[in-house]
Amino acid sequence: MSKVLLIDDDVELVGMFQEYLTQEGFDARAVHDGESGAAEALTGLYAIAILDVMMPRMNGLETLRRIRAGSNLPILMLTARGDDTDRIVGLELGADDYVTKPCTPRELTARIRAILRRAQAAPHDASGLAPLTVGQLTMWPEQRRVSWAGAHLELTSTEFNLLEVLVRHAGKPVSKNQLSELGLGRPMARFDRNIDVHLSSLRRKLGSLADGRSCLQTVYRLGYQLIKE
Amino acid sequence: MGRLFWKFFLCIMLAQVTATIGIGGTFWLKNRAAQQERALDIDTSPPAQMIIEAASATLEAGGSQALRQFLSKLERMRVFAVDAKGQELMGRTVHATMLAKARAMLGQGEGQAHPVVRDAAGSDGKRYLLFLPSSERFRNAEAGAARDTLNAVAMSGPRAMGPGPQPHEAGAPPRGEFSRGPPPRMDTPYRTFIPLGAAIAASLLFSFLLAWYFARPIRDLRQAFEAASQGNLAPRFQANGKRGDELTDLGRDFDRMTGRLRNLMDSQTRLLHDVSHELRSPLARLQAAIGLAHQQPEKMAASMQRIERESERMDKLIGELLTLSRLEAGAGHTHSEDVGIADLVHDIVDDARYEARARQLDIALAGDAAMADASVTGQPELLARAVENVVRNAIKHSPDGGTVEVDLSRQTGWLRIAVLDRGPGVASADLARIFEPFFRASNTQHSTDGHGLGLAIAQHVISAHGGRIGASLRSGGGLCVEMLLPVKTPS
Repeated sequence: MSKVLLIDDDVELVGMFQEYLTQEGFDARAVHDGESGAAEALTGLYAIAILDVMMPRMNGLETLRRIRAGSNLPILMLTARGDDTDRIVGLELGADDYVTKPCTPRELTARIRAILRRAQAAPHDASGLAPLTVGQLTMWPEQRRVSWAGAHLELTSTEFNLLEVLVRHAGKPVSKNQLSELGLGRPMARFDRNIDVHLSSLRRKLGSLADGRSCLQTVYRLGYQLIKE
Repeated sequence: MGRLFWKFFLCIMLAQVTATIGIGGTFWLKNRAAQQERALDIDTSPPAQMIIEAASATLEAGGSQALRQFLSKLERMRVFAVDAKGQELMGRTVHATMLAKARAMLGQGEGQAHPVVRDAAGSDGKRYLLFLPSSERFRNAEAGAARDTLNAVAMSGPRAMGPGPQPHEAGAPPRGEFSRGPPPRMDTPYRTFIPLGAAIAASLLFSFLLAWYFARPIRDLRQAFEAASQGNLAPRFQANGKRGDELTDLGRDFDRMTGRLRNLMDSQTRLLHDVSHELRSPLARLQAAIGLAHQQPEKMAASMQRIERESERMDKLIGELLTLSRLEAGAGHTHSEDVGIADLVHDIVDDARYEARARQLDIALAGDAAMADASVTGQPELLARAVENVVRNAIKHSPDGGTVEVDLSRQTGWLRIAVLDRGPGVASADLARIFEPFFRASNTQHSTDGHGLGLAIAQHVISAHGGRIGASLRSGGGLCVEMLLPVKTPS
């Protein structure tokens, strides 16, 4: 049973979500402000945190920053519809995905499942224990570990999933839609900047090629490609 | 260079040209009149005396024939010789006034050493009146005239002494004359055009500068208006305050206007943002409740209740928003009546007490008996709503089991309603902001009842009734909201 942490200041709403998620087989716990939310998330007891970005006192983004400083726990943001800045800042700060606020509990549950599936997918994969290697990049999907030129890289689970997709297709462009399906577990929505934000933070974390270019290249109209040397 | 610039330019140019022509014309006319006056005068200067002397000597020595020859040789300062009949020797017309003047001067001039008018008799017996009109003399420069006289004397001298013309000497003036004489006449037009051209150039320059000086701030204003119509309301006239005239003031007023508009627009945008945010919360709960109803059909009744509650909340929020926007639009005072505040407050407190009992809250009302006769002119529903909102706000923030105090008192001309609680209060910096729509003090929990519109509505109602509302922190914790309403003097 996956433990889900709900961080939202709307007590009634969170109560209903909690009830719904419990029925769906999750172990849901709710906190109503950012500060205790961050503290709770950092205990390491949870499989995923659902975080409302619009909270008084300690703002959701600040909470997100604090959680990310100490943990790679998958985080699903609740944002207001139309508030793109919050969303992009949240993704840049390392949130895994977002749901716009007036959302049905069913949609929320589906998103939680998708993220958890990706985060917990690896161990039973039939790809064997051999690491995947592309240039300086080495990846052990079973252990959820990545290194660049021997140095360990800290990636969020979404970044890891996206990178894995790219590594498995190294040398070939992968469309954004494919990345969304394989990496995020959902088809890409219109005007969705999610993939771009995750890939730009990946690009920052990965090293560059011998000629100074980034090993992650944008292929016009096709998507992204991991350069195979 | 817009059209305005050219209009200014042409106007100023025209004004300057008109002024120049006017002043120049006046001087010219005056000058001409003086010259005409002088033209009728008899010349009395030493050169004139000399030439008259010479002419009379010629006449006396050689008769009228010799005088005619002498006169025809003169280029300037040709002496007039008039006989008794008023006929001039050379056939020139003689102005009657001048002749009369000459005759008069002849009378005065008797006995003078060098008279300027002479009555001389020729050797042939003809008598002539000799004089020199000023016009002759002023026809040329003095130096030239004097030389002329000398030439004439030198030329006529030998003639008078002995017969036989000496054409060589008399016919042509000495060669050096032209080189030594005054500048040739053909120079003169240029000399008149130089100051004229300079005047035109100066007036062009000044019209240009003036037109530019006036047209530039107006062009700036126009650009500002254009920018404002495209939504750019940034201040733009703060820097050029050095002119210090009406146009600067206009720019400053424009800035003030855009500043005000900017504030209004910002607050509207913020309000819209807040409204959509506030509507989103009940919507999210509505959707969650619907989701639960789908998931657990056996708990349908509870879910339905929740759905009902949320839709009521949304309805209430929209109702409050409409009230607020009506109050902001200034609607109201359509039907004013006398409102007995003591009764009104009493009713509200009774209602609130009933609801507060659930939380063991007490509401203490003081001073209502003393205020029984005090009334305020206004709309009772709105006033009741304002007071109720303030009281409910106090109840909401009071700890369970506490006491909310409502005090009525009278100050000169004002009725004071104070609502005091022992809640958490607000930060002193936020005291004024609690009356803004959707303001939520950072130390309040997001509770589901109330939308942050109550106090905003109260403020609008009170100010629409000519009153004031304010908040202050209580010593010992809690908030005091004070409403002042102008009391109706009993007539």
